[in-house]
Amino acid sequence: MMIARLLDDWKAVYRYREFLKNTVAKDLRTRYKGSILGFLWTFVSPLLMLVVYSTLFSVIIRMPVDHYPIFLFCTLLSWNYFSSAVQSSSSIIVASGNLIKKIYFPLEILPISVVTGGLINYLYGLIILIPALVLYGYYPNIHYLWLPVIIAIQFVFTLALAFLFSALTVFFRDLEHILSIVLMAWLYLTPVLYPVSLIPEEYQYLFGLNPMSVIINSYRDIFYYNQAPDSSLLVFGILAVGLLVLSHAYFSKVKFRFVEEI
Amino acid sequence: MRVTELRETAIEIKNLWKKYKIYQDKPATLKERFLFRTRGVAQEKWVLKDVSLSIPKGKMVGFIGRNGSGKSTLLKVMTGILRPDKGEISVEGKVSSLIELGAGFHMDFTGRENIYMNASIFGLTRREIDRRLESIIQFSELGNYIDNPVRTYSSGMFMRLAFSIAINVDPDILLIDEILAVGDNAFQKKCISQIEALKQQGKTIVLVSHDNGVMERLCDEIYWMDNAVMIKHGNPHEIIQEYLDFLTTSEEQRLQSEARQKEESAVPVERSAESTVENQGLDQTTEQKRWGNNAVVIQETSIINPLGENRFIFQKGQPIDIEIIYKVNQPDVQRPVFGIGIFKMDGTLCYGSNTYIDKVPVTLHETGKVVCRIESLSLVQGDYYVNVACHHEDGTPYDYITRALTFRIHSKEDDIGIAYIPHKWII
Repeated sequence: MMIARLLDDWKAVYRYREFLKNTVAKDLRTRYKGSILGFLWTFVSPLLMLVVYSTLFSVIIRMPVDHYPIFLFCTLLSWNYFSSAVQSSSSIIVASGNLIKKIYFPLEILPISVVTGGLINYLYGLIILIPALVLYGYYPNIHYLWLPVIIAIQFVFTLALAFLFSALTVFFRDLEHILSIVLMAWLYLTPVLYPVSLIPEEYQYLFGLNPMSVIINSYRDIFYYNQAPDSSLLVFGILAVGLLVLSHAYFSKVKFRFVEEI
Repeated sequence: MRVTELRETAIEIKNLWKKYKIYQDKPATLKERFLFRTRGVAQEKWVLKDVSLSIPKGKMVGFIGRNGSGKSTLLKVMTGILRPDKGEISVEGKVSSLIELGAGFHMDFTGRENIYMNASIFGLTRREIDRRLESIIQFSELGNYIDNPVRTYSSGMFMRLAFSIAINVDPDILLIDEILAVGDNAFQKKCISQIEALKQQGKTIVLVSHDNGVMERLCDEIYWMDNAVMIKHGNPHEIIQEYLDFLTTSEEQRLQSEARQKEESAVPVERSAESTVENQGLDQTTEQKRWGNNAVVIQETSIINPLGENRFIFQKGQPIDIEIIYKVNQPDVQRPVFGIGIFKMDGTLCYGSNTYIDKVPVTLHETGKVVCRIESLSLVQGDYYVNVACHHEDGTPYDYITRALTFRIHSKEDDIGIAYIPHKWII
């Protein structure tokens, strides 16, 4: 019964795919509206980030890691994708209040569009990342075949959180601000800026419980260590799908109250 | 077409209830949530109470009712924006709603880009939009402007584009909420004929409008809602007539109670040679002025219908009496004249006359009543005010009151101007 309803929701999303596409395209187009570089910022911004982090960490703060800029850059982009998608999805329903009060469309489109828009931006970032890897002598390898799998799992996990937080923020507006702190803390608890080996032995299991560690380590495995990701990735992939179903079920249950709450 | 198909319903609503929560001061932040565990003072207001209806496929149905009667909420329930609290609703077919035109338009995008954007909100695929693009552009009459950013459009152009998209998405059911006031007259006519064409094609159309003429002409059936309740439905002409009568009665009551309040709250104004009384009851622009030497004082004025009732609203062509009650202050008032003038609210004099012009001799008593009987109040629909005066034949005012009375004319016809000139058409 509920499964059927959730499937209907997804069918409706599929019917409105053109709207989803247009929404994503609009977000990407208007993101850098009015700036001189415009769409180029999609590439310039990760490039500048690379410069800042590599200067900071290879000159000022020395990390016991080879080619630290690459070590960092190959995971930072995916972290940024995750964190900005979660952050902006939390306010998307409230921000779209004007639209959803006036026109009917499947509300799932909104969080999906945020996460998809972020994904596309991330893929553009990879266009900068891969040449940078080559520049440092890290050549594409057979393990790159894992890349679509990792990206897909990250997408599912991010979307699960997007459904959850976009719905919760409608009823509880503070969440948006709480999230920005949580995401900052989460970054430092995830081995993005440092290698797992730096974590004291007794806390390592805790990091194993952090879903984003699994994602980040997988990216680093294929880009930096030239090896296949840990099998925990697939376990996590299944969990992520489960989480997506649950959080979408919650979203679907409360979405009819959105219009009245905002 | 099979016979059974004719009986199919497009929209079926059974015992539908919908309430809104009205928060006095809604705690949506953490602090407030902890401080006041209950979520603020939520008042519940039922905006739809036990509404049932069935709209057959291919019919055009109108909803009438005063503001806040629940029409728009009902339409939002039909589109799926709102979900009922109780009851059932089933909608067969693709719905396009013209509830809010241009919602989701992006100002920096061109008209053409907005067509793609907006049409996709109605659930169209790229190919479907491609196919309709030309007819949308043509219908909007935007021509070359279609490739300019929407922010450069005039509001008329904007609405035309929005309407063209909404009407061209080829819905099975079209919900239209009070948007026929789009663009200029010519475009409005085009919209209405487009709606008629859709009706011919067998589309189901639901219309909410305050334009009763259009409603009566277009709709197969009218539903009348008041105060969240479906009052009745049926033949457009009959329902609209009944609705208008109802409006007249309730407005009458409102105006009377307002007038009563005004009387109660009015501070007695010491009459001076020229005193100004702010009169906010009927119209903010109303500013009563009064002057004269008080030899004769007009104590009371009223407009009376043939049943002897004091009224504010009259039907066109109805007989009325304008009554003036006076009191004489000086015993030797010479050659008094009583006069009236009827003005439109904008100050246009519609008609004026007095006892001197009409050669009616006036004899005064200590107090008395003068009646100006109008056999047929042949004014067109609208609001009017009346000046009354008592003055000397040479014009010296005894008591002159502007805007002493206000009244409203209701009419079934939409003729315009000032007065009704009896006429007929010979063709």
